[in-house]
Amino acid sequence: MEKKEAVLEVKDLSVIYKSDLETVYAVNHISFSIEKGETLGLVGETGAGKTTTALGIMRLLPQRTARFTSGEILLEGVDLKNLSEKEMLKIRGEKVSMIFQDPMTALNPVLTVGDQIGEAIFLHNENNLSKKEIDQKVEEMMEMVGIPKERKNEYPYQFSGGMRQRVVIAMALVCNPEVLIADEPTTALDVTIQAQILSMICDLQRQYQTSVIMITHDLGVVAETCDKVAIMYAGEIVEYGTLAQIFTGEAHHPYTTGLFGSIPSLTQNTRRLHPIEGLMPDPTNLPKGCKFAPRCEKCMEICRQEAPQVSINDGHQIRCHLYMKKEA
Amino acid sequence: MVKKKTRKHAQLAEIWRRYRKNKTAVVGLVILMFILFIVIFADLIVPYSKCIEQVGAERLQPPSLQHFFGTDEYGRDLFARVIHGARYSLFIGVATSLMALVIGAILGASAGYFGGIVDNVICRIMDVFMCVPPILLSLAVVAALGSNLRNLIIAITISCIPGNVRLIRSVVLTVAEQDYVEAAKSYGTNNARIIFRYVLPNAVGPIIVNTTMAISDMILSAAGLSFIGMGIQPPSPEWGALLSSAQTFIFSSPYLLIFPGIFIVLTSLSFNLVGDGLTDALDPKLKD
Repeated sequence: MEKKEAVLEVKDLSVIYKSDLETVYAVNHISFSIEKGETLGLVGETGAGKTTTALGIMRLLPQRTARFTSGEILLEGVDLKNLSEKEMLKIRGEKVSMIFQDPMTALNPVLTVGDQIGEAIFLHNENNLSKKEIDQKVEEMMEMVGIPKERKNEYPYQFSGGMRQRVVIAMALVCNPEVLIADEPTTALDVTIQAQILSMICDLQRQYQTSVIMITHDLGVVAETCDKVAIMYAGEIVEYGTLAQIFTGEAHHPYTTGLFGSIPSLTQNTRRLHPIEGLMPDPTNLPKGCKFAPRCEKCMEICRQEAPQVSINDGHQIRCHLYMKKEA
Repeated sequence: MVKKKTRKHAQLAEIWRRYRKNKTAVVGLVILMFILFIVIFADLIVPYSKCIEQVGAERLQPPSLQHFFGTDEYGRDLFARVIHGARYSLFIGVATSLMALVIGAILGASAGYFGGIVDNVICRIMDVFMCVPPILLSLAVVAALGSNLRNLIIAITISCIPGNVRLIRSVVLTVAEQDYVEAAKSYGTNNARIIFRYVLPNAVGPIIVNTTMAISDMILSAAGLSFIGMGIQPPSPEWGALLSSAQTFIFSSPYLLIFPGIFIVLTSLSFNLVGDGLTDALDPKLKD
């Protein structure tokens, strides 16, 4: 394996939401790392903790309820968890930026799109660019994401959903961040636009050597864009590996198998889909052993008693008792 | 730079185009222009001396060519008093509403945006102010500070702030939850910039309507205070004061009541109409 410098490294990160009545264990001891120019897919059902992870990296979790209980978020060796809010203002947008799920609501309706794209440059204006230069950069960026620059004085309501998502992407990339977090960037778009947007993100990523965290529940999107994949379930990463290991590898976490079983296939003649039975466990009251045990077809006695450890095979990590036994 | 200029220009033109579509708003604007004209050129229309000049022989004259609006119980020309009264009333109305708006916006937006302790402290203080009826509150302030124009403005502003804070806070609460505010945070915007560039502009509709309507309320409460002698001191003409002093003659000389009344109604009406029109015109979300 080639040894590249990890741009972003998340180690043993846990996040809880604490209110007077209950404590929600949203993210539990997850670790992953991304190298320069790489794309990591974060896959899982709704409520698996994907967005919490993303907001945690941005340090945008709701301040009154959310707490980090363990771990570190290392961006180029600096732990973002220890930075003050003022230092974070400099990180956000310049080093790490985010694309939001719904482009219809992620744009300020009273600013023109040109102004909004320019906003991030204005805020992180270290080269003391003049207004004219900022304007010019905004125009370049708009051309890059495929919006005619003549439209920069128009308001968001004059744009369609796909065009708005382009604006959002332009806003996120205009300062050339090290890490881009794309939180389900195509969920709100229709399929044809989805493909365009994805290939555009990939092109820009190659051009700028940006590292991308692609949050999605769509395995198709993952197959198209990612280098590494982390499958999340109930706040844990249950399986982690390269795209090939996840899609074509032999050993899988039963949950991953279940996910693939839930997708209709175009090539095979399947009569029925095989959805995973049951629901995600209540995050305020997680099961003692393996968190997937109540829904797992291959559940054994030990799964209910003990939380499984991670077994690593050539970088392919699986958190399941099935594979621990083989090792022993 | 040239480009920037044309762009601003284009935006104004766009707002004007949308404003013009609303015919009643245009009527409101015309009335407001007319009143502003009176305010600016009052001295050219009729000299100020006319409204304090007491002519004993011409007391309580009905409207005539010599005295367009008649004369009051001291023989002063009501036309001159109404024209010059416009200056006082409009100044009080606009000044108090603007001050209350600025203070209300800062407090209300902070309360709604930051929440938690900030919200609690601001809201509880406002609750205390709201316990006292506004007219009594202004009365207490004027009584404490002494009655003149400046203190009157301070008093009315204070009584108007709590309502503004509440309104703006509630609007800001809904706007602050929007995705674009979170998006703004995600590219490193600081709180002050978010409040003034993202939150308040999106909350502007209800705020403008409230402010324009408040102007007419303010004119009326200034009138109320003047009536009980805590506001503008006679012989300065002020519409509210004119009204209240005319009450005694409501049956014998109703014109003393009617003319200042018409002006107060016209002013309030025009501000309300303009406010309504502006809300629609300023909102880029309304497409047509």
